Amino acid sequence: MKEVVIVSGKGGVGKTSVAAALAILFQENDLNLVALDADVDAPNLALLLSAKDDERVEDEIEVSEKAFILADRCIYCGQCVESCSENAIMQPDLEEPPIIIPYLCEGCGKCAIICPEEAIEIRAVKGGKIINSKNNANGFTIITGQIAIGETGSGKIVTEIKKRGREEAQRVNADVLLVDGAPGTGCPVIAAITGANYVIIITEPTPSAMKAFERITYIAQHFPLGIGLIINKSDLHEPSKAQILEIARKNNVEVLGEIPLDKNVPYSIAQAEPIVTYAPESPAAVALKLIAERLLQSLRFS
Amino acid sequence: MTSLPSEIFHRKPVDVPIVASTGGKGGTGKTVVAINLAAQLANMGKRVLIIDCDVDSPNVAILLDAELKDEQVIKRFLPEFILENCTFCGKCAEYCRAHAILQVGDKPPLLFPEICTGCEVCQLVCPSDAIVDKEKIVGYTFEGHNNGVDIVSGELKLREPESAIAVDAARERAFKKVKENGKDYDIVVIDTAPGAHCDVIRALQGADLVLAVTEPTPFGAHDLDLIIELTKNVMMLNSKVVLNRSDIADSKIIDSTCQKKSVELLARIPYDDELIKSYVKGIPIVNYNPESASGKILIQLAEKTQELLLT
Amino acid sequence: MNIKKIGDFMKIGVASSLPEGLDSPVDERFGRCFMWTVVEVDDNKKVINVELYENDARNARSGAGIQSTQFLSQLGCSVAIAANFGPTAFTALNSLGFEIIQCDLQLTVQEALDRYLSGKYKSLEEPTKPKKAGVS
Repeated sequence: MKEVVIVSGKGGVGKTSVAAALAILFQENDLNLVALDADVDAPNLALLLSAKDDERVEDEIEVSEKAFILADRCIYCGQCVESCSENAIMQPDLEEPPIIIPYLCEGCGKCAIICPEEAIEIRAVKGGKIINSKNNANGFTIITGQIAIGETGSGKIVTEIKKRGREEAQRVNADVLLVDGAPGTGCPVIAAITGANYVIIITEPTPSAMKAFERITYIAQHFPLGIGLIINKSDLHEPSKAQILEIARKNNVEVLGEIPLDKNVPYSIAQAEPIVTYAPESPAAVALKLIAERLLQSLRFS
Repeated sequence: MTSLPSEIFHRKPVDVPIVASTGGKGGTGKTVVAINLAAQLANMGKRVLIIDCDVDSPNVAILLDAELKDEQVIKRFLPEFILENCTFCGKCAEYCRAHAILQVGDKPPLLFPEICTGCEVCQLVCPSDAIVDKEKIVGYTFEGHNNGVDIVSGELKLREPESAIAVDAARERAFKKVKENGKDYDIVVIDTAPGAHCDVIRALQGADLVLAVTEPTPFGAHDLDLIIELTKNVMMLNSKVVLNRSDIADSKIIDSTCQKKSVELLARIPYDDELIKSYVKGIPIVNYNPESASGKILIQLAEKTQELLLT
Repeated sequence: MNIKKIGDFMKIGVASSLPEGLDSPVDERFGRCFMWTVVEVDDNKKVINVELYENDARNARSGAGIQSTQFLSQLGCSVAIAANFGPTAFTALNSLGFEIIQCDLQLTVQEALDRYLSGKYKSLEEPTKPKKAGVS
């Protein structure tokens, strides 16, 4: 079983669209797969893969710890307010217990230690959801991680869905575990890359995407895995594209392929359909088929 | 989320209006909106400061083609153990909620720096003054200027997980500039990271106006719902929507999301090749081609922002 | 004459995914394993005691490997057995002088124990890369 993770360094370069297209193309190449959506802030893979609503199974998980004030023990001294280095505690009314601002609280426990009345507890809170669904057309499982608004702990959700993804992959004897990673270079991305066999970096030829490409390449090189590059909207700006190819060459990043600017793509996204099924003869779809072939070769599936 | 008292949301960091550009989904164009808003307000004679709080991949200076200088380090607490004072009580390990310290028997405490969140609890509970601050560098802030706009930018060191601290540092440096004698700004623009994490929340704190930038796709609508939930219902900030690439698909889904969340759709920016050209060149479209379809809308957006915040 | 009793002998912490004692499957992970099967073995390599513990570290926000190491150490274990040890867990266990034993996948606690006691495994010198069952 090969674990393939798709990252982008920068958001909006087409990571999820490519992930969905590759999932479909792998299936068309008779591979058994499980798909994971590790873009836990804004998971869209299941949407794009037309996951059936009536086959959804949701599961809440604990992702972080927060402070809770036990009102009946509080003596309103306000020492917790001063002690909090995140400014996550306020006491607007000095005759009432202070209030914890959950989205600023890191659960470090300082307030609980400082409190002279032991009136503060640190408790685990459920802030994440894991959703199992099935792709409409092809029936493969999609496991989605989602973090609640304002919560921290996205790395934890990613680690958990990866674990479940591997279990499911084992159960169905999958050839590939395809992971749509989060944009950026933060800890959910690192959690997604950890343990993968191959990382696909998607970028576009613009100055801001290029900088992000360098960052994500640097990070990916710290892991024992193959790295491949896909340049999306490749004819947007030739000089930037040339620079990206040079960076790839210098860093031993395999170029899987280029996808040209294609008006069919935004239309397919608006229909929430992968380009390879929406317009299979379009330039983007054709490019993706070539990329899938090259990728399967690199993964030794052909 | 339980409701929080309104005092929390009236914590203003400075006396100058703050407008923030955010988006939930990445790549919708929030930075493009932010820098054009800033550049046009400057064209309108306002003194503008823009803060780049997208510390994982700060793009404001790139899109404004500005050189960043005056590097300052962002430091965070990292414990260092003074072994002569250590009594091997194990309290530091016991109270560390991140489990970043290992201490057993009479072995010296062992720190795992990549897990440490810098909360200082270990130092707080150490009974024998055996912990000092080693001050770990987690990122940098910079300043720059171009297109009539002053820039403060925060950048997180690669692989550093705690972006919230870099956001706080960039804001602190920017607000210090605002409060300095002789540095009179009319408005502050903030560019946030994508997502709805604590780093976005910290970037948005105290904003007088939040512009949620989205696109007319099911993903855009889905993520818009989440981000408006955060900015309007959790953080209780005045929130409006900006629709980018408004004509690539039917914007009905966005209209209905806006209706559902009771937020106004303030601007529709059409797909514009000129905008892409300006983006690649590092010149705000409002300066590169103000007569273009997107340029006109962004100029209008700046005027509306002025109406909302500066009159 | 120094008579040793239960509690004085070598203790081995085996990462487990079910509470079935020696028949439990060995868990793939160390820090976040479901539970611990702690086996005490006398000087003749005979099992004289088996205790089961929930692993509180499995839901830890971070530092699960460190928390697990601390836990096993405080129980008096000197050997840790699991199918994988990440870098943090490895560093933690190594710093306390543990024997760090990586066993094959899909074994029971008994099977892993037998292989360890017969000398089949050597203590790790660096963290593992995850092994996958099937084609790699």
